[in-house]
Amino acid sequence: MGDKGKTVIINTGLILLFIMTFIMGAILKNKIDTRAVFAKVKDSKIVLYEGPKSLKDAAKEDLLATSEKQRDFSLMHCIDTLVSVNGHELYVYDTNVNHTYQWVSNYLPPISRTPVTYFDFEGTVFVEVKVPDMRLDSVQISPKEYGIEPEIDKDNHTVTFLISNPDSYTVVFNNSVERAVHIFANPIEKNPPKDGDEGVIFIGPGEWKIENIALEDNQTLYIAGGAVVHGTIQGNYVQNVKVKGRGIVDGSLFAGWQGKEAHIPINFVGCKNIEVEDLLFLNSNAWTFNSFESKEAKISNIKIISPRPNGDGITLQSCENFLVQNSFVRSWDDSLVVKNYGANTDNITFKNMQVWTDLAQSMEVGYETNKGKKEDARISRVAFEDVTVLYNFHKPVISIHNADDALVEEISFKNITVENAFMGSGDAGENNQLIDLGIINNSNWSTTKERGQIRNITIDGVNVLSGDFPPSKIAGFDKLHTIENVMIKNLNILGKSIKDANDGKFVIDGATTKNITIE
Amino acid sequence: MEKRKIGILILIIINLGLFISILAVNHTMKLSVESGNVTMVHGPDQTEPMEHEKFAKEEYIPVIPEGENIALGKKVKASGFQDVYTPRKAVDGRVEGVSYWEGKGESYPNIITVDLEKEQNIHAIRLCLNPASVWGKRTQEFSVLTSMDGKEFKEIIPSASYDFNPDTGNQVILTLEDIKTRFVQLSFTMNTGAKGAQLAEFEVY
Repeated sequence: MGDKGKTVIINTGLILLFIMTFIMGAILKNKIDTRAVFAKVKDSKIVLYEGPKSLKDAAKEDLLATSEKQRDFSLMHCIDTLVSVNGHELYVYDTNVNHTYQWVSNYLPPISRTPVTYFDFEGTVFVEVKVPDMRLDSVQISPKEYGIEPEIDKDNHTVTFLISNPDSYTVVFNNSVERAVHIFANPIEKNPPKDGDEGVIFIGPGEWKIENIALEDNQTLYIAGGAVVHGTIQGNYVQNVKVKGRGIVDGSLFAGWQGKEAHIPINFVGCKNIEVEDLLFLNSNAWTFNSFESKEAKISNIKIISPRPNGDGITLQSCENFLVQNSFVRSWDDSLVVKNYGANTDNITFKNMQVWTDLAQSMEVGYETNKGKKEDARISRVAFEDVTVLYNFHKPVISIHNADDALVEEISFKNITVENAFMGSGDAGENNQLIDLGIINNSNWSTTKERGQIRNITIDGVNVLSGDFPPSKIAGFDKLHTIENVMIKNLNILGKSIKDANDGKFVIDGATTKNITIE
Repeated sequence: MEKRKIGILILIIINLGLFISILAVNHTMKLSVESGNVTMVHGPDQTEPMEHEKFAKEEYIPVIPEGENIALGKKVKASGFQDVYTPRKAVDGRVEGVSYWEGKGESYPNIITVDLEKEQNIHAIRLCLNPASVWGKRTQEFSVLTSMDGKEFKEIIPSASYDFNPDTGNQVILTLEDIKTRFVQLSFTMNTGAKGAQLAEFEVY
């Protein structure tokens, strides 16, 4: 080989080595950056729960959007979406959700599926979501208040991000609600009960068929993480009861109620001193968390996803002194609803909630305000505070519908964020408001002949981040049945600060309302 | 030429250094994550959903008094009722679902009377609630009265408490010495499971 040949080889070698040096440098920088991220998670603790081995893997045909009669409706193991935390794979469930934005009179709407998973942690953890079959154009993570900007690796179909706050996180791909992933990141349990503890009914991991668990006085029901209970929990005139644990209460083996027999996943009737924590309720055959004429309750960190007709999330009928906090509700009927079916309602607070409402209203007082036809019926002191509405597709976000003769007073909505406002979808028609306050006579919901009143309503801090600009409405019934003293302030819709009725597209009936302030 | 050779040597050394650094960073990263504090909760080996042993119940074979339920479909009246739970539902032969009578809340005594339409000999009364577990246990307090004319009633069993338990059919059977009567009445004064008396079936034999 001549000098010329050697020179070519040396030059080529040099060029290749230069390129290699750049590549190795880039890889090292990437690794160092990743290690910096991982350093943050170094001191974290995580608790993972293996799901029941008996759940079927969800195949493509199980994911079809069709009625519950036309495919296997059971809770399944999700295999098209992989979620890991700090590199450890989580068990992902495939549960049912409903993207139909209209009532289906035969009770058999098309029902879809979506992935759901949960774990416990403290510190900062690194979450990876992999969707091998999905093209990733964009990814959004809610709640948006955390400002999480995920890393998206389109080639590997992965989304990665860090979280530090125990909360419910929802990953939405390509601006579509299809296959949105719900990740319930719980705090680590402190002093959970053990099997055999006195007064404790302990249900360990596994898939269990239990027709119903009837609570008795002074009892704790504990459904451990990794457990799936197909059945219901009923408290009937009992007191001092606790229901807790990271497990799942699933209604998928019941047929939908179709207006006949509701198997309410958790129901308290005439109870006192109730605590409910942490459980995940899926696939209820009708409505989900129900309480009637019960008092003194603290509900924390529960999660509900309900896909079937009349699948309200949390329904409090004629209850007193309830605090519902730090919980997640995605439902195919009203998400959070307070009404009178018997005695009066007083002192109900929903605080730090996340809501996703596929059908009907997100935060509803009514329609039934005196179904029990009591004298001097009243719904008083109901507060919705720090509520993030991830999606609202159908009827109003904030609503008071007094369809009976009760006095509805001292109701407040404070610090409400609506991330995606799509009210009016499907058959919602003119019920497409952000705020809807009304006294009405409705053949579906009214029981009393006489009409009622609405007084002293505060709506302070409502921020609509995206979606369509919604109207609002305030209308009493007549001169004698009015809405009075409504203060609306700090309202911001799609970046526009609302200072008067015109700005906010409010329709206010002057003849049946008094002292309505928007500022 | 020599300079270039030296350059190649330096670049090889740099690349080796980078390669070792990548391995080292990778190793420490792996350690930091995988040696992290991880607890895995495992479940049992199952191939299908199982009955939970704590909730396993012995099969209960309902006890039915001899003879025929002569109250079935007969005229029935009550002092009041709650919502849609009318007294007729206590003699319709159905114990399931919402087919039951519930007395008006907080207005004891809640009285229910069945008219057998003619004087008949009776020897037992069976009172049923829905046996589904969701009904839970409850105690009701009542007395039993009879009458020939529907106006003058005579107490045949004084007021007492009776337990209704879904594990044992959610029913109470009262055995009587043969009594001739046309009207049978129950007068309730307490129910630990609701605000008024409840009966899915009021059977007379």
